[in-house]
Amino acid sequence: MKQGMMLWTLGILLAVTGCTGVSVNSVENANKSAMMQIIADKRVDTDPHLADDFGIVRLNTAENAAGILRVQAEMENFTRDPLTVNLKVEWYDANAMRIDTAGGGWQQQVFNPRESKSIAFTAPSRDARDFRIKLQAIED
Amino acid sequence: MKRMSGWILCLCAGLLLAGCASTQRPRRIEAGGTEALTTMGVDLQDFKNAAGQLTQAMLNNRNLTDFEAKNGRMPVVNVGSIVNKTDLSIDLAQVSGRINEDLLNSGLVEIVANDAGAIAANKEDAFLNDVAVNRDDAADFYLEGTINLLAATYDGTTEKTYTFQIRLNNRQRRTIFQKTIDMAKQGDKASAIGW
Repeated sequence: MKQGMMLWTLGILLAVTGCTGVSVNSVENANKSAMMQIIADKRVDTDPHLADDFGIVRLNTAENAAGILRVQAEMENFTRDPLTVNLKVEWYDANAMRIDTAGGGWQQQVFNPRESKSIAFTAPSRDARDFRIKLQAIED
Repeated sequence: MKRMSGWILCLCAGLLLAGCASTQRPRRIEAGGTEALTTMGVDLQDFKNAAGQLTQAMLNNRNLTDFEAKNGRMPVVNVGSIVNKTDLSIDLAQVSGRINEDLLNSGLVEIVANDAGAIAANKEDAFLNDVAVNRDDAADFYLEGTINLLAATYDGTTEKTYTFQIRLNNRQRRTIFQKTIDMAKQGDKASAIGW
């Protein structure tokens, strides 16, 4: 009986270690010199599992020298497993009309366990005023 | 009772088999979207991503963004060809065409038209107007690029990395911008057949 319990425990331990990947440690300068314009966001979570496992923790925007909007999203994998997500940015002009592009579209990003990554996007033209970032989990 | 449950079992098995045997009808999907096929080659999503990332990088380059303020006019770009340095058949107009379109629609640059009709009409106008030296085809920047492939196989797994690289050169033959995008794919040997 005791032996059976030990085997079960060993099995669970193996399963857990088999699932987890190697997480990422990071170091950065504490006193930032960059002036970051952090913006408020509005979220619609239709996939609660994805919202639990992964999220955008910070959004900041800037304009380049030509007046084109740039958006940077700091994204984080909250889990102990590697995670691959599809993401896409849609841009809207001053009349809230979508601006189409020939390039871009859905792109895949791989996140190591507990990894956070900043991904920057540049608007397709000076007309872009607003944006929407779409996230989708990739099912294995 | 036994006979009835036997019939029900047979019916269920028949339905299951019919479900399995049905072929998938052709249907429309989002081009290059999340349902599109992923192969070990270069897919539409790869073309769109490469073009999107390369164009975004260009739209942030100071040589282009500051040009109008310095010169009082938009920079003129000649989008050349992207050379395929792999041994695969890849339609690289999928990348250069998308870069051309997004650069043009950005409102930041003017693009030189290289089609035969526009060239002929421009030459005719220059002739009729007695233009000694026609410089309408002169660009401020020339865009060119390459795609390379790095392949590796280990223990039945194949990995292919496609490297898109573009350069923007000026009239003084200086490269003023270069950007590299790597796209890596991994699959078993069976999925790599044909590429």
